[in-house]
Amino acid sequence: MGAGQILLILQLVDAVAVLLRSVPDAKRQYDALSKQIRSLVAEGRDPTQTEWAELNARLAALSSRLESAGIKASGGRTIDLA
Amino acid sequence: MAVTRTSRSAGSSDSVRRRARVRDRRAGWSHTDWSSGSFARLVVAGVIWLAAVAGSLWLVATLGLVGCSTEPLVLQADTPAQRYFAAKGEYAVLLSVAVAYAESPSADPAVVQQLTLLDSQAQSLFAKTDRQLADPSVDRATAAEAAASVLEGITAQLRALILRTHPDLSSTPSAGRIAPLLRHRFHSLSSGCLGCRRLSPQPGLI
Repeated sequence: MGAGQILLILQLVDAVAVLLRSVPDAKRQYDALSKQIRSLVAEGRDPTQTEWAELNARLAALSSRLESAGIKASGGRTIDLA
Repeated sequence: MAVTRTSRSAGSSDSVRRRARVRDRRAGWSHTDWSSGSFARLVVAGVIWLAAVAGSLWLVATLGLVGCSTEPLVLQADTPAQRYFAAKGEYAVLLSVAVAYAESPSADPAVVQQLTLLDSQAQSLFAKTDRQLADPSVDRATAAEAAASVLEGITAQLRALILRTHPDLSSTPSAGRIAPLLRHRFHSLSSGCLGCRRLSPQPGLI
């Protein structure tokens, strides 16, 4: 088996493995969110400031990580949104 | 006598096999040499291929479930604020998968760029909606309802983009390139087929 073949297979396996590792966590997050929404409905109230703040902080952190990965993937260039 | 018969029989069968090999070689086929580790390579390649296919099926099923369940989160909610919260939370769930992909060494820069652009749209929506919700002159229910609806669309696009990151099952151009390449590699690993030179993909395909 040549080095190119090994590299190719490893790249494919890696791409699948990354998603397979992250999906169970996403499923857990989704289930927790579903439970939270059901609880809000059962209690007949809107999300509190603390609940909003937690969600917004999580989104901001993820967005920042995605932006860093995007800059890294584009070789340090920023993306033109125009 | 029995020994003589056996060796004659073996010799005859050897010569038949030799003739078959010569005939097949002329026809452009080749024979796998099972004794030199090719079988082990075949098994390894097969296991990897099966794992990739099984993994992708599971991935599509799970990601399909997230946000596409029979009772979507937004419909579970009662009030506009709850609906916006549910849509935003669902977006965060899928964004975590997108970030994991974007941070992996095998991430496609073009896909990462699309993910980033999509997230920019979502961030703009969040900023606009937060301003509206803080403004007493704006109807908060209408603003939250509208934001939830737009965010659901962005989340659907994000889900489709994540599924595109996996080559085997989606119908994107990149899938069309990678699946035959994997099949070719699998075939050439297992047989060392002479005809594979014709099937070899162009360099830099991935």
